[in-house]
Amino acid sequence: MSPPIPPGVPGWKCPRRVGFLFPHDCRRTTPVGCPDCQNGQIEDPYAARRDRYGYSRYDYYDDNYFFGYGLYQGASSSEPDTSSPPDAASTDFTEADGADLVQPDDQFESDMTES
Amino acid sequence: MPLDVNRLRQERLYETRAPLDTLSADLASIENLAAGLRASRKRLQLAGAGMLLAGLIGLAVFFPVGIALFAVAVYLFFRVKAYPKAIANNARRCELGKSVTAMLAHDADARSPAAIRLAFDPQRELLAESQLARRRNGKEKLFKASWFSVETSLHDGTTFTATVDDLVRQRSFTNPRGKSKTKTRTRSLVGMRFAYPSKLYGDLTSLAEMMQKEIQLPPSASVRGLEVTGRVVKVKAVVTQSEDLARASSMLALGVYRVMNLSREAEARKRAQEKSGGAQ
Repeated sequence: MSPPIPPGVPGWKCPRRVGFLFPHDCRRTTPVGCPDCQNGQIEDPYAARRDRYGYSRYDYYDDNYFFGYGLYQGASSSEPDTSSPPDAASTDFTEADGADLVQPDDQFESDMTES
Repeated sequence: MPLDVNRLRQERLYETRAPLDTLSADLASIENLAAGLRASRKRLQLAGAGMLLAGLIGLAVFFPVGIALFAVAVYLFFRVKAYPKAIANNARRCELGKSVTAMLAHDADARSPAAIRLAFDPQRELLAESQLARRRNGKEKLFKASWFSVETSLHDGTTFTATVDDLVRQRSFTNPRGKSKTKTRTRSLVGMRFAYPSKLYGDLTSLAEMMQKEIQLPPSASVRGLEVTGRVVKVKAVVTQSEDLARASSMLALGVYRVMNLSREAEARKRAQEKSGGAQ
């Protein structure tokens, strides 16, 4: 068995998880100057992030997540759902969004005699 | 390609396809430019006001001097137009652009190209027009102005698209004193689209309800639409305070990805189970 390749040497692969939205491999060739692991001091930079606003335990899911939503009961499938084309509902502004601006109970600037 | 400042000043538009680190640098430059334009406009306006005042005094003291000072004041006010107001007053749009590109830079290859469009003076599209009840000459118009979009591919194979549209309600009427009044209110609509690889994440369709619950937003923002299919997640949120746009955008993406990550984990476990079952 060959000894592990030290950091900085060609062929070295960082074992840490990095990322903001999702975990992925770190592609740096050395931990020196790495803003994620801070020179190798942080073991799991992805989980250790503290800049995710209200998501304090972003990488933690209790068992309810897996069992409550049937993730083990075959609810998910690797086959794509073709029942609805991807562009069926766009993220464009709709009449409903416009209605939000003119709700009768909306108190915004209801007294327009003021300026 | 370096930032084309002349084009930006003329068209009030930054539109390019470049690596994320280039976009971040460009957006920082535009933000500085906007701050500079704002300062220049303010300086000229102050100088113009000063000249106008001096002109009034000049008229009383020596008429030709007063006229000359008035002419200088008019010139200074005219010069203000050389510094685009749309860019000067919308530096916050750069902040959103910087925030989104910084967020994406963690999960995308810094050298992979991203397409961005940042408009400082976008064309308004009239969506609806109606009469305003109980108001003399009362009219209400609804406009949409699309001013931001970005699209790039992430490390996991997802194609991420984000857009921001301003929704403007403009009410005009004549008040009891006969003066014309116009009131506008602006809301921002953040739209995001995640075209994900189903091989990695499985089918997220059944997790739409969970996604709705997992998305956390600032108090000034709320989710207004979520559509999940076997290939795409689309979500849109209304943000009432423009200073919360950057935060709301990041939080929206985080909420969607938290559920995507869960599904990815479940898929990986399922594959491992199938593998171990097949090996037995």
